[in-house]
Amino acid sequence: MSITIIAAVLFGILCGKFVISPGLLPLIEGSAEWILAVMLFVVGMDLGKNKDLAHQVRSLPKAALAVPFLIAGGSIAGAVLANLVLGLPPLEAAAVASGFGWYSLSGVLIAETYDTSLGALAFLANVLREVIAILIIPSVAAKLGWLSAVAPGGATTMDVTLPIISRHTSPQVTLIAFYSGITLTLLVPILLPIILHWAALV
Amino acid sequence: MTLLVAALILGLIVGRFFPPSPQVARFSGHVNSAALILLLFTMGIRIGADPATMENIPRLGTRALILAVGAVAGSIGAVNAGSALYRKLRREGGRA
Repeated sequence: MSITIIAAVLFGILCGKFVISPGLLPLIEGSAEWILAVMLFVVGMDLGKNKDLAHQVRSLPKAALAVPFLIAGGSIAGAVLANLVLGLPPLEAAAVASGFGWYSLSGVLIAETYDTSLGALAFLANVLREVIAILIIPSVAAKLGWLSAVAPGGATTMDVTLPIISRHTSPQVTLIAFYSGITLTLLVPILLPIILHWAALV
Repeated sequence: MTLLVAALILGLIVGRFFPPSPQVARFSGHVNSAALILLLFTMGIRIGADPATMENIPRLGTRALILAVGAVAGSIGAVNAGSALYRKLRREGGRA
């Protein structure tokens, strides 16, 4: 899958540079939003069919419900701090971080509604977040505790990184990770447009 | 943007009240993969058609890495601090 993803982006870049006429770009932008809508519909359907989930989440310790919000706040604060080296506008760094590893949505959403360059940056940063998560989850779980191992994956802990978390922590932490991934996934299409709106005002 | 949130909510409702059969779920999985590829392709087109972004690509990689490391470190720090606080409160609660 990852090779297909990189190939799709590279093939798109080549087409954009050499094949597609600029007149077609508005049409492509318009269709991208509808494709995104289809994707979110399917994601929603996947989440909605989990009837047991609401019940299982209710059985968790109340404090565990805060985990995705800690991850969201920590991700944004961490990226804004790291950005002191880079000097981008802080809200742009916050927007990149609030993809929480969901590179397709954050990259496309930012490229479409805000700025192509920042969209490309968000895509890369969130792909890297997923890769970093896959690499470090086992050692974070061993050295910093199981719950901390939920953090690096962000929104990807409901699918891509869930098996890794499950292998290196407990069933209860795996459930927290799944709940956290879902919450962050739902948060991206709500939080990101708000941050981009503010970034555009500054 | 309303379209995206509406699509997500509609999906949640459909999944909750009309759960898809395994065949439909498998089909929608394929639809999702195809949509993902198509989306990334359109994002590539935008990048390729934008000379400013094309010039910036070598710099973008380093920036992306710095922001990703910052986000990962920040999220781990926040969860760590949160669970330390939770343990402390519980200990104190236990003593009282």
